[in-house]
Amino acid sequence: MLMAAPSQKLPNRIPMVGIAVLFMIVGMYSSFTCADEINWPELTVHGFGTLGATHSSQDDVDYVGNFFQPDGAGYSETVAFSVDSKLGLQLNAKINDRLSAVIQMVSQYQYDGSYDPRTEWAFFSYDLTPAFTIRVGRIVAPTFMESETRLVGYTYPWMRPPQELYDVNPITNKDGIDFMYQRASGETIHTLQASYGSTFKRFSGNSEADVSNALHLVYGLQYRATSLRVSYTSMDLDIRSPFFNDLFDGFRDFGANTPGAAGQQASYIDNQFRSDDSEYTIFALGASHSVGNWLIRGEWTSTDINRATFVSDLTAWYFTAGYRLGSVMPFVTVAHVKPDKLSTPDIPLNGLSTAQAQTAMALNANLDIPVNAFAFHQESITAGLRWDALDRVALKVQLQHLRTESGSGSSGRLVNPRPSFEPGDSANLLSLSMDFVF
Amino acid sequence: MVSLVMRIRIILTSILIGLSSFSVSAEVAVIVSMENPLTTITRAQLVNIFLGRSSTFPGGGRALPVDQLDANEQRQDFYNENVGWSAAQLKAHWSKIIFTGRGQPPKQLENDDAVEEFILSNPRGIGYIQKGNASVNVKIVDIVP
Repeated sequence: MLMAAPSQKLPNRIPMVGIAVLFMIVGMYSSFTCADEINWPELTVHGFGTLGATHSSQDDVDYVGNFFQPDGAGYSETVAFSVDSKLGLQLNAKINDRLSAVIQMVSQYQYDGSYDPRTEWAFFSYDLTPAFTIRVGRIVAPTFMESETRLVGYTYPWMRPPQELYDVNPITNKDGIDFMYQRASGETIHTLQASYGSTFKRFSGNSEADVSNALHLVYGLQYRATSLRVSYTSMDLDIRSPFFNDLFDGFRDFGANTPGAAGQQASYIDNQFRSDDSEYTIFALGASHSVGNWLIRGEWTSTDINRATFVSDLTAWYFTAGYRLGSVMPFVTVAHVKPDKLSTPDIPLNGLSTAQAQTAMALNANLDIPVNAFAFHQESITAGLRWDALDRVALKVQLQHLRTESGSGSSGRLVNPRPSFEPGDSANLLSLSMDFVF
Repeated sequence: MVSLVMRIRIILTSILIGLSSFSVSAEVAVIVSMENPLTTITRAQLVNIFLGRSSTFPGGGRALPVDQLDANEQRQDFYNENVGWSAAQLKAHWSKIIFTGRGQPPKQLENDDAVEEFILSNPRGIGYIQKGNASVNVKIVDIVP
C-alpha cells in the first residue's frame, strides 16, 4: 500500500507542469460539480511550489536538498534545480462542521531520480470539541518547528529549513493517528499533540527504512509574538540496504567460521550493528520571537539510539535573525550538527591466518564506511534575503558557507564524495528561488 | 538598475505612507452577535482568533471570524492596528495554516454590510466594520489592553 508496485508506477520524470494542470483540472471539476449541492463536501484546492537553482563551489561532492535525493549541486550538476524545486497540491474537503479530509500530493526530486508525485498527507480530521481534534490517516511527523510546512518555501524566510537540524529527522510523515488539544489561558495558547504511527521510506542505492512505533509528543506555547515548542520523538528504526546486508553477512560468516576471540567479536558486531529495530529518540526545543521588525528563532535537538549501531547520536542547532524592511527581509543563519561518534569495534587480528587477517581487515575497513557516513558533522553560516515581490510570490537568494569537519571521516550532509574530497573541505552554495502559493 | 539609496528611499517612503494612513484611518469596530455574551476582548485574544491560532472565544465556544476583502481599507486598518503585519506577512501566515491542513482563512466578505449580515445569521460570528456603520442589531466589543 505504501509503495506503488513497479507496474503501477507512473512514468519517470513527468513534467511538473503536467501534474499541476492535471490537479487544477481535477480541482476545477470538483468545485464545478459541487457548486450549489448542499450535501456535498465543500472542496478547496490549494497549491504551493518552489522553483530553485543551486550552485556549489565544491566539485568533489554533491549538495542535496534532503536525505532522499541521490545527487545534487557540485559534482553531479553545475547548477542543480533538483535541490529545492517542488510542487504540492492540497485538496481540503469540509464534510461538515466537525469532519474534514485533507489530501496533499507532492512532486519533488526523490531517491530514484524522479519527480514522481507522492501522497504526503491523506487524513480525516474530526473535532471532538472545538479544542480537541483527532486525525487519522497519513499525517505529519511533527518533530521540529517547521515540520508541518517544511515543504512550503513561501512560509519561511530561508531557501530551505537549516539542514543541519532538519535532516536529523528527514521523515516528514507517517500513517497513524494524531490527537491535538488546544487551550487558551488569558492571552497564552497551549497546544498538546500526541501521535502514533509507522512508515516506510526508500533512499537512493536501494536502501530503505522501516519505521514502526513512531510516537511524537509535542507541547507548544504561543504568547503574543513569542512561541516555544518542546517535542519528543521515538521510533523503532530498521535501516536496510544491499551494502549493509553484504557487510553484516560478512561479519556473520566470519564469526561462524573462525574460532576464538576474533570470531566472537565478528559475531558480536553482526548482532549489534545491523540496525534491526533500534529504538531512536529525538528531543527537540524551538523558540521564535519577533520584536519590532526583528525576527529571531532557533532550535536545538539531540538524538539517542538505544544500542550500538552504525548510526551515531547527534546534537544539532541553528539560530536565525532577520530584519524586515517593508517587503524585503535579509537574514543570517548559523547552524551546526555534531555526532557523538562511536568508537568502532574491530575484529582483532592476532592469531589469525594470513587469509583470515585479510578478510578481517577488509571487514573492519568496510564497517568504517557506514559509521562515518552516519556521523554527520558540519557547520554553516548563511546570509540570505527574501523579497515578497508579488502577491503570493516570494523571491529568495542565499549564500551559504558550509564546512565539514577535518579528521571526522564525515562529509557532513554532502553526498557522493569523490576520492579527492577530504573531510574538512568546505563548500560555498549560491541558491536562487521563487516560492509561490495559490 | 535602481541605486541602493533610491531603494532605501522607496522603502522608507512606503513605511511612512503606511504609518500616515494608519494615523488618519477611520475607527474600526469589532462586532459580534447580540446572542454572544462577549463584551470585551484583549487585543491578543482578538489577534489569536483572527490569525487562526485559537478557534474559541475567551469565555469558550467556537468562534467564527469573518474577514473583509484585501483591498478594503477596513481590513488594512484592522490588521495594522491589531497585528502590525503587512498583507504579505498575513499571506505567509495563512499559507502556513492552510498547508498544515489545520484550517482555512476566514471568509472574506465584500463590505461592512455583508459582515453585519453574516454576524446576524451566525451567532458564533465575529467581524470588524467601520464604527459608524454598526447598526443596533449587532454588539460592539471593546478591545481592552
